[in-house]
Amino acid sequence: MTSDNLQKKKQIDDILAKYTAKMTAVKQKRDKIISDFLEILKEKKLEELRNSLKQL
Amino acid sequence: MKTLESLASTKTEIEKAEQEIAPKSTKIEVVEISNEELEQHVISAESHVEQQTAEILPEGEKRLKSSSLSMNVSPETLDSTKQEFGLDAKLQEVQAEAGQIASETKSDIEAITQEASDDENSESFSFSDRKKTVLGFEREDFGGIIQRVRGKENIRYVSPEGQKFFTKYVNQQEDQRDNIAGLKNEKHFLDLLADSGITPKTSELKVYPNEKRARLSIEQVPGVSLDKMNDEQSEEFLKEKAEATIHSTAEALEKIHQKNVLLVDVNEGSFLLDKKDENISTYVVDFELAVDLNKKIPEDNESAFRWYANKDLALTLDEKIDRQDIEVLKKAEVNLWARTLAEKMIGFSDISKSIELSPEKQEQFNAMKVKISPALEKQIIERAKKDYEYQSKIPKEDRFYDLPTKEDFIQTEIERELPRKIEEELLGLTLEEKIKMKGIVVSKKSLDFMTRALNLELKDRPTNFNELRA
Repeated sequence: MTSDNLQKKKQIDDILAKYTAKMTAVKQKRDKIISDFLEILKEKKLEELRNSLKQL
Repeated sequence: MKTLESLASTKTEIEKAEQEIAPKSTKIEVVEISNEELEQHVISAESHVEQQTAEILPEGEKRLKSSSLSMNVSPETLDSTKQEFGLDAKLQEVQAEAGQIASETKSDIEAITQEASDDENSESFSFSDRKKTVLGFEREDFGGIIQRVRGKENIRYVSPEGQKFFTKYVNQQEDQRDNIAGLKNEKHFLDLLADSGITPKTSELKVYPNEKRARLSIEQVPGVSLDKMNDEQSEEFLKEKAEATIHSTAEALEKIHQKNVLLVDVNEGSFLLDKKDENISTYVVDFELAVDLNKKIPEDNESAFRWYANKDLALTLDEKIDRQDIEVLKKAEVNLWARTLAEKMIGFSDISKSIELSPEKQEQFNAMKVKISPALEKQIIERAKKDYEYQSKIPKEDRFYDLPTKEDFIQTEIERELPRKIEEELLGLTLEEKIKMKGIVVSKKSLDFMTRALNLELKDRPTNFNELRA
């Protein structure tokens, strides 16, 4: 019984490539969540500044 | 506990069974990639997956922190906005998705090493089929992908009468560590420690006529190893009964050391823990790399030193260290024990995270950080070069990502890996805080002992477990 190490290596490389593609999508999802959150945070900060100005 | 005699009688059962159900002697022929290269490739691939997955949240947190700092938002506003937005929950979902992808990827990689039989009479075996029943014998594979590539199999059999026995099979492979010599070594030490009460008994070691394969039957002892525990067992052994686990594993290792034997390959698979009434019992297993200090064989001591040095930075920091010094070897073994337990208790991702320290400790931490960073950076660079070489061999059209220049790749690896490795190596300074963070309660004596065992200054480390028992 023989095992084709080269074939196995290539298959592992293919799996890794697919993993990387999936993780890219996950990272994009993460970054979108963070961007949306930062937008809201920015709005809140602007609101704080407007309120401070009104009080002056 | 089984006697050697009753184990010998099970040998007949194994002889009967193995013709039908034991794996045939496999011969691995290297086509263009050697087994060692394939093994390295698999280790590298799995490590890459683990690292990438572990970095998902920390990378995001970094961006979050720097952006919110630049906005000069008050902590109260930040916290309330996080809560309203449900930020933590959303990010946890992302982490869970990343974990799922990583788990599937690792399973797919494991499945690749399946060896299909071209003999229609033999059993094909896949990692997904760990348990099989053949001719009334239940057969469960306890090995893993790394073991198989190294030519090793660990199989547990349960006879139709319910009798359990464990069998290690090894295949001799060219240009690899001598597996059969390792199995003989294991047999030698298990026989030497047969009366210790903390090691399983064995029966005869059989070397197959072609001298390319061997098997050793070992008593099935109760207990679960640290790396095979489910969540419930981890909670019990590593949290609720952490103090008892520390003492039980230390006592077991001490019994081995009292015979002037070093286990050497101390890892999360070495200790089988079992709960007996309210106490914890420990069996120690895997003696393939063990050394007998009584024999005073320089090559044995040297090989033990090299093994420890791969995992213990303290042994490489001091260039004048005496590699044959028994005290050094014993300190290294106690260090490995402490590190193995601490890493399982604290967890893979929390081990490498920074934690708040007292000003005095932070000063010590910063001083040690300066001392060890050059050595760690050197290790990271060497590893990065190998990874870059392997990634650059993937054809561009098969890659879903752009490979940066070698210099940029190495620099990114240093920026990502160095803080993590520093935290791991300086665990001796942060152990108390990290154990507390996990809600684990252990005695001051145990904590102090483990802290000293993890010290990067060799002179301050214990050589045995006496202080823990005192």
